[in-house]
Amino acid sequence: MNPQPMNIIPITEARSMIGELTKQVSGNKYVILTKGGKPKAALVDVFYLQKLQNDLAKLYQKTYIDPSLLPYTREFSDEEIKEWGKEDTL
Amino acid sequence: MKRVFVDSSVLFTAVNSPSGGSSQLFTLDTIHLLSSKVVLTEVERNIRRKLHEYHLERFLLLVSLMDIIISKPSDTLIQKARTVIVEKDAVILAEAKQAKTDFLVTLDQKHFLQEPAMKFLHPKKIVTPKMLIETLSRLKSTVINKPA
Repeated sequence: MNPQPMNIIPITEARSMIGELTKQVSGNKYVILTKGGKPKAALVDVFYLQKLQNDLAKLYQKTYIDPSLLPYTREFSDEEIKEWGKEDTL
Repeated sequence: MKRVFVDSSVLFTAVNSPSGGSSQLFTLDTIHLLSSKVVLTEVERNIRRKLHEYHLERFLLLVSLMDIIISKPSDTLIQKARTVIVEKDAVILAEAKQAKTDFLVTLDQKHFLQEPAMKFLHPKKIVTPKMLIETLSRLKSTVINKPA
């Protein structure tokens, strides 16, 4: 389910219309609250938030890491990641 | 259809950047991509440590586009691989040797694109994503230009 087009409202304006905004955020419709022109918080349907949290938890449960194979693996250095990025350019 | 073994550097880079040659490999319908459990373990370990949450989602998507080889190469084959490449890459080179593939694709030129490793893997070829894309393009134009 993709998020619906959202409303972006300064927090200062949202204060006086919080009740109305709360009615608007149903399902996957949400409102972004800005402070100083930058996104600061989001007003979302609590059930949608729970769904997102559950989806994320499921995503993190899924893993291909096999602990018995970890000794055959290593941590990549930042330098080699950068080098691979350069080498990958077409 | 050519069979291509994807190493850790290519899978990690494909997850990290959607615009390079590594990512492009996952869009080609003329090749069959394979990898191993060691590669997946290594790449996922590094994604969780070095990248962002959304990269993990992309990793799972890319893995779903490949066949994963379950069987581990024999210790003898890994020992042989150690004589031609550094310790850290020996298992992956041995896996590529054992797998029924035409190419090993890597971005680690320093260790894999060297004469001893290439001889070890012969007749399979070791290439970068860019080299593979160019090779496939040449093969395609050869077929198209072949007289009837």
